[in-house]
Amino acid sequence: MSRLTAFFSSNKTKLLFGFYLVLSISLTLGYQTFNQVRLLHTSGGIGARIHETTSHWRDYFSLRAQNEVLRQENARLKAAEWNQPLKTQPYQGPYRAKAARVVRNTFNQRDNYLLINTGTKDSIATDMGVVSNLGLVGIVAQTQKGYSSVMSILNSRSRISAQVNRTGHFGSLVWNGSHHNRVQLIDIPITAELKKGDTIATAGMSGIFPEGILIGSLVEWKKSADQNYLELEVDLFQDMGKLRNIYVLQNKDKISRDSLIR
Amino acid sequence: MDQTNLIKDLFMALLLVVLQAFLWNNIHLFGWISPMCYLIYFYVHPSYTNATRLLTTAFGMGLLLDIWLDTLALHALACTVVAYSRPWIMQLTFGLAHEQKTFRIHQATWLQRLVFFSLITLIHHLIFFIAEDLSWSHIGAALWRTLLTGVATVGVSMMLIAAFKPAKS
Repeated sequence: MSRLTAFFSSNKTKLLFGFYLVLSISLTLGYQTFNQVRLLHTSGGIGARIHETTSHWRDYFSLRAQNEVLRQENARLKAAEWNQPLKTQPYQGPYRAKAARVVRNTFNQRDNYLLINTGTKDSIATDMGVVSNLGLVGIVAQTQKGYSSVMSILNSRSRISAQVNRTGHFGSLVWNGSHHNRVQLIDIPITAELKKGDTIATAGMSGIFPEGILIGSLVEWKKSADQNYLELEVDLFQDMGKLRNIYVLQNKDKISRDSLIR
Repeated sequence: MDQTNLIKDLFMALLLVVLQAFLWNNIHLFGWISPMCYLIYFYVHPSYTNATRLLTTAFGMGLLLDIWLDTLALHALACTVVAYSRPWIMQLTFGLAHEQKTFRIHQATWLQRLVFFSLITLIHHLIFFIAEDLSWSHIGAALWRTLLTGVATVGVSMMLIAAFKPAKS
């Protein structure tokens, strides 16, 4: 017994180091292996409320810039409205938009998430699309009563179908983690005739996003490792570090659509 | 005396965690680089305190940040390794001088202090960014992030250290 005590006493630093090491590795791997969404798990409701309070203060200092963004968006929508033939019927499409505010945004980690101030009480559910006035943002990953976490397109697990607008070729939009304003469009057929500056937009395959939500512009491309496809580098229209106001897209046809696919 | 040091130590750790969560994490150099200046804790921590205390404080400090920043247990992991390897880093940069109780880090040369803090930052950031991804195919991106964030951390922290340097007696 005394030898055991002596062993623990003489090796307590090593043992403690081993304990903390195993604990932190298991906490990290536990989340990564089971593909869990972290934001609401760890922070919880209290954390979300603190984030909202701090975001209120931060937003206060960017009011002028945000007003300008919304003013430009309004002008664009007005122009679209005035250039369309007069409509007597209200919009009949399946998509509805719910405005929300970003209370927390990470964009410099490998797996980035946003916390937004709408949740189940506003009928927000998982797998709903999230966009800004400048383009694609991500997909709702988890919801609580008043808050939701959104898996940003800057996340290693994000895969969204997108297309080259001019040619109609579509593939998967992923992020390789190297730059927060650049994503990759993979699995584009090698026969596609691309041009620098081509606009990339959502393909609307999954029913999460309608077709044509802007994503970014084509900067460069190369052949994939197996030489059968092209990998496109796309500069995002939306600066992911400057997200404040976003819209959650609700597709009322998605449930019936998904049941057909299954 | 030791009790006072412990309270001072915990206060310093907590202050640095709060500053990291609310201030440094909201700095985005070149749009995305946030310096991790809370590593100053490993710089100012006295060299003669017992290792178990440093390990526990470092782990707790990292875990608090992880909970707040939703970074799994990445800060806790990196801080634990830094705390454990700190005596070797001190040995490497300051030689045997650091084992004396009278040793004060601000008495070392400017270069020694820079190397010491850079090594702490390098170990921390390497573990943090590699463990964040755990993918060999993205190792290049992890090293790139280590390098850029490391330069920002060392740069901002050394400026802060210089600004709050104790007056020479």
